[in-house]
Amino acid sequence: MIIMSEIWHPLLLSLKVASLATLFSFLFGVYFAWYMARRKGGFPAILDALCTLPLVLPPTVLGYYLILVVGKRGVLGSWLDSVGINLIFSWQGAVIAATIVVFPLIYKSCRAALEQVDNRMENAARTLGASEFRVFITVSIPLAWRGMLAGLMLAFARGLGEFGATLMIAGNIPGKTQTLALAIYDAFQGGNDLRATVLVLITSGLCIVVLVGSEQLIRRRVHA
Amino acid sequence: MLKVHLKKEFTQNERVFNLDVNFEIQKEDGMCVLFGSSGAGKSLTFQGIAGLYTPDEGFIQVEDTVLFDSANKIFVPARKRRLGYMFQDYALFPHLTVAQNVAYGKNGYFVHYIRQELREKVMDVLELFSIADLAPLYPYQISGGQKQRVALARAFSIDPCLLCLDEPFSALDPLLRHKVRSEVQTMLSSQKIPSLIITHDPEDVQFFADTLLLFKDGQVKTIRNFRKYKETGTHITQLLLNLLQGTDSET
Repeated sequence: MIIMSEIWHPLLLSLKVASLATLFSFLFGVYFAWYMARRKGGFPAILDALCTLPLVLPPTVLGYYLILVVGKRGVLGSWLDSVGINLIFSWQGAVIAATIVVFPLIYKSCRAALEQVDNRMENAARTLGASEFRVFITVSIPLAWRGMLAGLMLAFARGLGEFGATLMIAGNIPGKTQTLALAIYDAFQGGNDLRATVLVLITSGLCIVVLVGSEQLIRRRVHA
Repeated sequence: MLKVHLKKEFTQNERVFNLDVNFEIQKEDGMCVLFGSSGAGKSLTFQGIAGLYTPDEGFIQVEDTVLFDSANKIFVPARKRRLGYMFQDYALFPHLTVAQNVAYGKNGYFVHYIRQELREKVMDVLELFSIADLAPLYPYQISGGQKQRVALARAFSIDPCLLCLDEPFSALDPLLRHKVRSEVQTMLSSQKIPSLIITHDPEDVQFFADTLLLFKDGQVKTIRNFRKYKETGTHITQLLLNLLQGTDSET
């Protein structure tokens, strides 16, 4: 027996969390990619490694770091607590966790896409009087958007399935912070195999749709 | 009128290239052609004049404006140099129409939208280059010769104080090249904007050069008045070869 809200709730929450996480990560990711695409050497190399780190660290480690930062006694958390904001065990906490986890995917693909932009186009814009920011907005991004969007979709798919860091920060509160991945684990643990199966199929289907879409975007070439 | 002294060490794939060019051109020198084999530093010289990199040391002055002076820490950024730079293979923006490409230099952040008074100016420029009918087309929809005109029109559009044309004809097929040369010649002489042309085609030299700047190994080897060859139609390929090998004794 499945209760519909037990399916709907995790699904909508996951979509919400993944969308917001992708959006926030995109804003930071594009900025970092822009900054890094034009710099080489010591400090940028370390920054690059830091930006990629969430891709290889176990999500639990990320969750632990996040608790150190935004937890009640954390660096930022104690200040947030004093103004009445508590991110632990909230869906906003899940957004933060997912943002960190998907960041490398967005950063890497944006950077690769920006580095592939023909440098002469950007130089042409410069000689025509465009500022660095205008070059970026009006030339670099339009020529790189395909690769960027593909990265965004990959990140969205990854965000949908985020488990480890979300569990550590937001916990597993049904109807409040229980995302798809957590609901599956919960249903399986509780012996509710039907519910687990339905959730697994929904998650897989969603991810396949997103990945096929992103692959299509990468494959299609822009006319030169 | 134009004073250029550029020094920079480039390293690419562990190969070091030293650019060290030094030349001065006056109004009466007319059309200047930068000639030399590939990798002699011609394009790097243009990029230096345009401010697309920071030279190790040097000095650049166009008319009365100092664009770069390492001794006095002056570096005018590329966007403020007002140089009409036509790139090799044109570098037209593929996501913008011909009109939007030509409008880019005077447009804002919404490059797809051209406001009314700018539209009129753009149409004037397009008409000047007889490409007004191409205005709504994208670069991939037009021919090589048309792209060349659009690129030239775009370089003109910012009222440049100096035109730098980097191999303007190399992407055209030989017959078209012949035709376009005279068109460009007419255009340049009617606009009276000082121009530099990069080429490694002796025919371009023959056709355009009032003054020849010979590039070799990152340096300007010789600067010569070439008017007499242009006027008499003397065949210059051998002369250019001799100049490159340094066996020419004529002064």
